[in-house]
Amino acid sequence: MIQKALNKTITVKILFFASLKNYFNTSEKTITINENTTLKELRNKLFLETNISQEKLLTLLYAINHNYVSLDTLLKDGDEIAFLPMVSGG
Amino acid sequence: MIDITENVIPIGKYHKELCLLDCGGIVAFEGRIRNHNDGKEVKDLSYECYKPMGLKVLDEIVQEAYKKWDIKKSFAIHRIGNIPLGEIAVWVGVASHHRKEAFEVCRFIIDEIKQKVPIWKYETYTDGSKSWIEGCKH
Repeated sequence: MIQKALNKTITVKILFFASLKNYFNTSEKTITINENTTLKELRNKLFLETNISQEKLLTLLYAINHNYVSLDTLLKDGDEIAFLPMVSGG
Repeated sequence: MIDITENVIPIGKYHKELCLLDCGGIVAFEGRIRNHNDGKEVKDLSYECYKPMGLKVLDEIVQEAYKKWDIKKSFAIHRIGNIPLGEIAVWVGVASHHRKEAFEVCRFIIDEIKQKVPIWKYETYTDGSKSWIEGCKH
């Protein structure tokens, strides 16, 4: 029972915009991760596999379900997570 | 009214809608596609948008303006996709009783759009190079 709780997972959809698509060769992916994962943990895991610079990483913005959020946000099953470079509309 | 659209922005129609009898001031800002950026000659420009979030953020910006200022009507419209040089990419129009609020709100909305709405420029230059523009320098 305890083991089952420890292994509980959630599935989230991740969106990449503008230049971030180049780092992942896609604009979206769906992944399964452990429950109680924070956005920061997910970001670090994802970007570890890329050659993104620390400088660029620090400028990124984050949204969950269309709201800007901070990196300490706890992820929930079904979340739509967006990694956003600094915007340049207008 | 807010919108994010792939169509040409019908500014004549929107301007007419701002001409209200009780409004003595109308201020509009139109952002157009420049043929140069950072010393490079721009050949082609397109905008990418996270549209569901973009509409939500744009609506929040306009709602905030209505809370802070006494204005009567406003438009905040952003065009996306490929836009020819010289054409309008963003149009903000505000009508109020007096000019002060119209000027302030127009400035507020366009500045907030440039900081918060998830839209990005992708520029192609005459030398064949291409670049995402991320962040606003101006």
